[in-house]
Amino acid sequence: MQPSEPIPLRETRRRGRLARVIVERPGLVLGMLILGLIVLAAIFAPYLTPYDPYDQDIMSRRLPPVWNGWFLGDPQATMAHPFGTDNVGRDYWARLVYGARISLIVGFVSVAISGFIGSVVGISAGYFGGKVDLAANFLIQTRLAVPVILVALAAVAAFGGSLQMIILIAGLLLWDRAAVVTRTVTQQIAKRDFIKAAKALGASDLRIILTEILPNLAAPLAVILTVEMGQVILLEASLSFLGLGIPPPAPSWGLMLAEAKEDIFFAPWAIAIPGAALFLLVLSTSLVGDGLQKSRER
Amino acid sequence: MTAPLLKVDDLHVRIGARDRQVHAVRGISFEIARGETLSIVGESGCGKSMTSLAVMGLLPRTARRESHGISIDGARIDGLSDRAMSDLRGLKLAMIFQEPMTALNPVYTIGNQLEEAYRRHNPAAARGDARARAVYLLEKVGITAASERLNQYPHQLSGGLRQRVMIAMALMCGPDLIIADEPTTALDVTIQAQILRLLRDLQTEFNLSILLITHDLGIVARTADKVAVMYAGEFVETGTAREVFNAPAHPYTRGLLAAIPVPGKTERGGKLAAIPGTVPSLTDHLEGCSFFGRCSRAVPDCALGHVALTEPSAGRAWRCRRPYLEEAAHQGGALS
Amino acid sequence: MMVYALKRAVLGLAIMLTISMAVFALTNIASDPAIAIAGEGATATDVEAVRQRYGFDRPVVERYAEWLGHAVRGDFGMSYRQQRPVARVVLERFPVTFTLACLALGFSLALALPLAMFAALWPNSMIDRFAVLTALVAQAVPTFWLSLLGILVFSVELGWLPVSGSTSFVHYILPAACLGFFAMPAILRLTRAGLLEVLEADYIRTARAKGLRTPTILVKHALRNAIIPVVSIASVQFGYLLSGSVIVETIFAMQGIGYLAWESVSSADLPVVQALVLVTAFFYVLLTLFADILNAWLDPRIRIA
Repeated sequence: MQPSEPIPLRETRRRGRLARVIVERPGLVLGMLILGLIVLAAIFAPYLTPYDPYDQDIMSRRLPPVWNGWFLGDPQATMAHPFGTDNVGRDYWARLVYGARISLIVGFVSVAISGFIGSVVGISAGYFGGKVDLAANFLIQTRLAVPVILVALAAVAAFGGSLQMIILIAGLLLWDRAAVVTRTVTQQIAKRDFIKAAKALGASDLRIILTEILPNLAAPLAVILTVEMGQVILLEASLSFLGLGIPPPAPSWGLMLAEAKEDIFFAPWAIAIPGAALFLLVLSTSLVGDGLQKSRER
Repeated sequence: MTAPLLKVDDLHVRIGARDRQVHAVRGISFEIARGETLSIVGESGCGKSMTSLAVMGLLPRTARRESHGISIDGARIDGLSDRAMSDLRGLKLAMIFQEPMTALNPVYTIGNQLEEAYRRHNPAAARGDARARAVYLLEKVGITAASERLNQYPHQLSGGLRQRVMIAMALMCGPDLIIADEPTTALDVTIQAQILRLLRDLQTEFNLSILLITHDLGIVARTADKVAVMYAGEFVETGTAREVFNAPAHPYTRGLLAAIPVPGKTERGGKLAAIPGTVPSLTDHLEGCSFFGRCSRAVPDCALGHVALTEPSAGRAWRCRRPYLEEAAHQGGALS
Repeated sequence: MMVYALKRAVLGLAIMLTISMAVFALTNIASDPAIAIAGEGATATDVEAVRQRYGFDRPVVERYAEWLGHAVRGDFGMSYRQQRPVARVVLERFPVTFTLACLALGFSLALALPLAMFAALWPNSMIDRFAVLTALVAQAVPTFWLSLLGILVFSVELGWLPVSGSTSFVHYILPAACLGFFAMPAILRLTRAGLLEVLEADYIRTARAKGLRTPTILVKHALRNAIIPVVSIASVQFGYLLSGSVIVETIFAMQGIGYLAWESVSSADLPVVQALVLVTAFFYVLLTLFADILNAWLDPRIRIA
């Protein structure tokens, strides 16, 4: 159509695609990088450290991280324990990488549960409308009025704290945003002509939901669940920090912070390290979620 | 002919950052005399709305305006700061927008929004003056029980009523020029006719100049004195309404005219003529005639160089190397 | 307007009723309160005695009705741990948390609103990027980590602020800042988005076409419309702050309801936990109701329906 357009330009564009994604979505790329590294560290934890995260060593307690030796000249700092040790001499790096497993498992599984509940509520509300929508809306409103931390604490106190319990509680509590998003998107899709056509042809509701609506929900659901995963991870860490989450001696990052809190005057790095890890993990989920959202909008 | 009220010389509008720039308006010039209506006609995306916003100084943030001069009543306005320009908006030139449903602020009453326009340019005026002016103009635009309407909110009025309010608002400070950007597009057909008649009556009464932006040639035929047909950011044909309708020279104008159903002439149920293809993308430099890809009369030469405007007499012009000359509009079916 | 307010109030009541059922079920059916009260090491006969004394052997529905009837009148029973009426225990802790939440909300509004406004006025400018980045980072910072870092810097290193307690205003500064930081990103994001939408609105262009000056347009036309979502967000966040205070109060040992919640959960003081969940939920419902009615009053499209 446009003879004036120089043809070689297209070639360079295609080759520079990855470069362009990096330039245009630096947040998404950075988030994926951090998240990817943490996931890899969690999977290959045994290969990344010679220590067992539960092994105590009273001879080397509260060792500072190795960079304290480099920059502050702390003579106790040693390459043998690059991130130092905690108050009972467990290797901090080992606890950190094994702890990533806990955060990620809680994050992924809880979000799978809450995503499922939210989708069921949201899709039925958006698709059937009317009274179903009213009921779903009431359910969402009620859920929002429930104080999450308080109820989670009470539930842990009643049923005992364990990894499975935390996952279940988070999954059962944090489905509201998934429900709101799926409801809105389903409403938009259900209004379109191809859904009406499918209905007119006698397709069953379940079939329409599975074949027409679900595929369209995947992208917005992925966005919201990624961000939600960060919030679930924060919830687990908070509960564990309060002593009502994952029971010790598991290397949960929240628990590490709770233990380090006692040594705040003597070993400030013990607070900085797991907190920073938690921050980076949650930040990466936000970055990825935001990046995906922006890519969708274009 | 007296000195023009509005004179625009070689206006360009560019939108967006350097690498993905859209050259939306590509050097257009026109004049409107006092009490006259110029209509700019074209398909959506041809740059006609950008032209109107450029004259008002209301272009979006990402757009840039360049020209060899825009003047009102002989005074240049293109170099004015936004602050100085705001002193003229509403006072010398006012605008009516396409969407009456969203153009009014939902949280303030009609009266508040009308009076606000008046008091902006008459700061010394008493509150009662602004109110009296609002009532007077609401009655002028055909709204009954005007003083009660002043206390109503936009959502309580129908679309047609809201557009009347918008017109009254534009007239609050007695401007010389009204820019109406698709003023009836969002309205029902019966309301459309009423609003157009109203605009024409007000024009005669207040000696207004009107710049009417529309895609609808039917509206042009009913209201315009002069017509400028816009395509891909340029004027492709200008002239008096009579000239353009009776003897269109540019194939694009002919295409537009052929697309209007004529009662009695157009076969019922028959196909209306459509112009094949779409407007070229305005991101790039255009080589040759912008209508080349869609024109049935095109010859290979049309794809080369820039087609200059042929101007046989003042105000009458076309941008075509193979114009229809001395042929009446509805004779040949050259484009169908 | 009255009909609207009434509808919202009925919805709020229904929500409260549902939550009260859930709370009662959680504390009475899912777990046996008699075992919790009797404590560790209690024999079966001990538990049975407790069960009869507290009336746990009666039908669930009957107990729920009685409990709800009392709760509505502000009687949440006796605290197992303190052997005092729950209502009094909660009430005496309330001022601390209320002050903390108000200060925290003030802190986050003072930070988020100006930032959101400048960001929306100049989209894609440096300040806009800064605002977006701030929201992202603040959202990812764990509140308890921030609190510990705050103690580390301002109490341990600099010695400016006290480590714990809730006896004077100085004690509130650090906790309120940490808690406010947690509410800030949501307010910042939603206010920015709302303002951006308003500034793009057709009626802003109309106002400019009238010749109105930029400050007038911003204050009269933009802010008035943008304030509507901000009111909703702020009240919802205030509700979250009440429950979010658990972490901050525990860290700073502030004698508010958050700390009380942690103490009560840790010692299985169920009547107090029940009361706290209900009271926080009640406040949340009340706040959203208040926000909705305020918005209806601000927005004539709802007010004059």
